[in-house]
Amino acid sequence: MPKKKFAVEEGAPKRLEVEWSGQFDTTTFRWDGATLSEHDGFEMTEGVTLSLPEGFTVEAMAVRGGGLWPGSKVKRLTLRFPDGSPVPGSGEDPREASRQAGYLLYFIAGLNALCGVFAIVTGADAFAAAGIGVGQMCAGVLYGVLGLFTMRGSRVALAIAMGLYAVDGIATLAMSVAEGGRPSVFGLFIRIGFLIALGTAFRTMKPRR
Amino acid sequence: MECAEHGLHGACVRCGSFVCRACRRWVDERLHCAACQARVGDGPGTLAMAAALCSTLGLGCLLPGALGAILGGLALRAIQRGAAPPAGRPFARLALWLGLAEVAALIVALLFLSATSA
Repeated sequence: MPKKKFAVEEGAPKRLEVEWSGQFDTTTFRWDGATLSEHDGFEMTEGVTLSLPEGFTVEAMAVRGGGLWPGSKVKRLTLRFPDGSPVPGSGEDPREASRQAGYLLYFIAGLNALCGVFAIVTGADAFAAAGIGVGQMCAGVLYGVLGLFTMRGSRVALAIAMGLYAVDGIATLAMSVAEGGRPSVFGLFIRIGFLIALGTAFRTMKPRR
Repeated sequence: MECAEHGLHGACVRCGSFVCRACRRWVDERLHCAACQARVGDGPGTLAMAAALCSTLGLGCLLPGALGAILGGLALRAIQRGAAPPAGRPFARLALWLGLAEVAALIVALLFLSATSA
């Protein structure tokens, strides 16, 4: 069963452990390894309030939208304090969202750089015809730099990266169609999935009022 | 010892002063007072950022990746010693692993080129 640990204060030791099965059909909360409470799927969907040691209170809820597509039936866990602020390290924590988005951008950057290196080293005509080479490596650096700023919490960098990635996808698709080729449906799905994940992070990074 | 207002007490790992639950701060899972947390800082250090930047530039021409990996390793050691802000840890780790991957890619590319030219 998957489990994850959280700290209830920024930078503090991770003492709150959540262990769940399936779509939060059974969820167990522990503090320093000692079981606090167990809940079934219905209770988790309704939301539960955890009274933790040292006077902390956390509201936990299993909500829809854990998959790549908006409104997907896959559930995700939200952990919030009574004032609505997210528990550090949880899915709704802006710092965690910026870190995840940054890593994803570095992954995209790495793929671009790898394609570029492969094309240059092998000198394959197919890559040259598709325009893959030095440009791809430059794109890798660009996505990397934007990933670095995103990891530091810049929503502007993430927005630019999302725009570039979308335009890059459309251009690739248009070129492929113009040359009479068949665009890769799998590649398109992956790209859309990445964009949705980045968009979700962008929303989560929005400063709270 | 207990604070009359807030109860639980702890001691700052850096300066040793007592802090209550309301005043305590955490840095890298260790108890700090507010003043020491401000001294340590909550942003990544210069070395970690320089390492991450080198490894990022290495995505374009691979060579700076080696420097990024070295600086990333040094930054991680500095963070472990408490000489650099722990907020730089993800950046230093990223620099280290990305830099190592770039060095590996460079070696493979050079081997491939030397094999095909021979």
